[in-house]
Amino acid sequence: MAKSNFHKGLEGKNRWYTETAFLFFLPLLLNAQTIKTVAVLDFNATGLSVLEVQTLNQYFISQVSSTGDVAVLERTEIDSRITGSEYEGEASSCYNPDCALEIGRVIDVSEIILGAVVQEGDEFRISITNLSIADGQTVFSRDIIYRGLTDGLITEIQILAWEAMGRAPPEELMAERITGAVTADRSKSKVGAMIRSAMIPGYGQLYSGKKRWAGIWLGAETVAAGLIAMSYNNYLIAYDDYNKHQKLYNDALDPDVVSEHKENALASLSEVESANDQVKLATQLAAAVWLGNIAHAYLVGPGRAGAATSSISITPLVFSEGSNYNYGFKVTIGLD
Amino acid sequence: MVFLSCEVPTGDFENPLDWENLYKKGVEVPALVFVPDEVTVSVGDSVELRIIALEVNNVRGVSVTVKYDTTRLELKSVKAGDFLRGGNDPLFVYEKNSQSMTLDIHTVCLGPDSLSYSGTGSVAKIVFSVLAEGLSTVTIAGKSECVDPSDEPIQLETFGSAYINVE
Repeated sequence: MAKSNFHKGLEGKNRWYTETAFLFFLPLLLNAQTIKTVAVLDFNATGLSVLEVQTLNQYFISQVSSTGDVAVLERTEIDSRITGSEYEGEASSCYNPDCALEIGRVIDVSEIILGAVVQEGDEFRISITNLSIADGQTVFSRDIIYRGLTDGLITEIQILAWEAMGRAPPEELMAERITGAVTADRSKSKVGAMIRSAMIPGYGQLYSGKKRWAGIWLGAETVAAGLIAMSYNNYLIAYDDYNKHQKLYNDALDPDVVSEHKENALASLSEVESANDQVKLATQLAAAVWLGNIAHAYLVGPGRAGAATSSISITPLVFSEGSNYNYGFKVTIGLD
Repeated sequence: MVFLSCEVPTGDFENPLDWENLYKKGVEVPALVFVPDEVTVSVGDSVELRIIALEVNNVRGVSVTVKYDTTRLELKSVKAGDFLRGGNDPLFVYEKNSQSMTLDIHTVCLGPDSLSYSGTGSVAKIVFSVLAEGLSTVTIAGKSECVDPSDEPIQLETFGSAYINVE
């Protein structure tokens, strides 16, 4: 049945209303997609009461919410989302990056923040870490020591909230800061992670909260060190044999006996050379692991969001030229 | 530590009785040679040289005349080697002549008339004390000889020398 002019007119108006509404709400829709969701876990506290810690936690969360373009997941929503999962009930006792990342994935947030507050006399040590769920990288990490009144402590907590979200704290908040109250700012940095890994393989990764990687690098270096020790032991045994046969050769007074000992000494000499090659190879392997560990510590060390840490991979390489082996790395940086 | 490498010996195969060294030095057998044939010492040190009968055949006795510089080396002792020692110690005598700067050694194996020895072995062991710096040469004279049970001399192709470098 053909539509009446009235119906046609209504359809036209509906279409206009729909299109207009769409255009009106489009910016809001787009804006909604750029708001990131953040979860803040309970602070790990020592020396403070439960109420004090909860208060500091709430001050922190409140400031995070104020930084803009951020939707902070309510605690009840966190608990609701992890109900039924293996992390049920753990949101209040998760104080390390590994479990925080797992919880963050379960509750489907962009970033997750964990913190710690330790009171020792009149000194407060505050540690805040912000982790990106997408790539597991540390977006922000800072440790400070505060000495002063409680009001000043709350101000520092609030300032850290802004910094954790990558924003400059508002001037009025900074104005409330008590000068000299923060006596040590042990900011974690990529360079700090790199230096620590240079001293002890895996230490930089541990410093950055990457316990698994810390274990991997330390284990790999331990294996390499073990290979060096084993190869060196083989070298010592072969050298000992060579010395024995060399002495027998030097002392022999019959040409045929001299020849026999010479043959044995040459065989031992060959074993010494082979063992020495093994020592060199094991040492190069240990050096490659050490250097890789340092580079990795820098790459996964604490850094700002948007830094080139999300698509970088390191692949160890082994080149062989005849009986010689060389080690190197291939570093791939994603530009997307 | 990055490029740790251990010491690898180069091998010291300078035994004068090494066939390869003998060929290099032009030693032909049978021969009377010194072991060692080169040594480096300091003034006041003692040097022990063995006189070796090299690849000899059917030897009953050996007479060796050793020439050396008595102003640079002092003879300390002379002892019999094991080459002619069978069940009994060999007869072994020696005489030092300072004027001619020589040492004469005579040794014969004791036993049945037909007893003799073949192969390679030490005839005598001589110990010198070093008196002066520089190079000292100890030489087995060409008149040295090995004899068979019939007291017939055995043709020797090489008479060795030892070089003592005193630093």
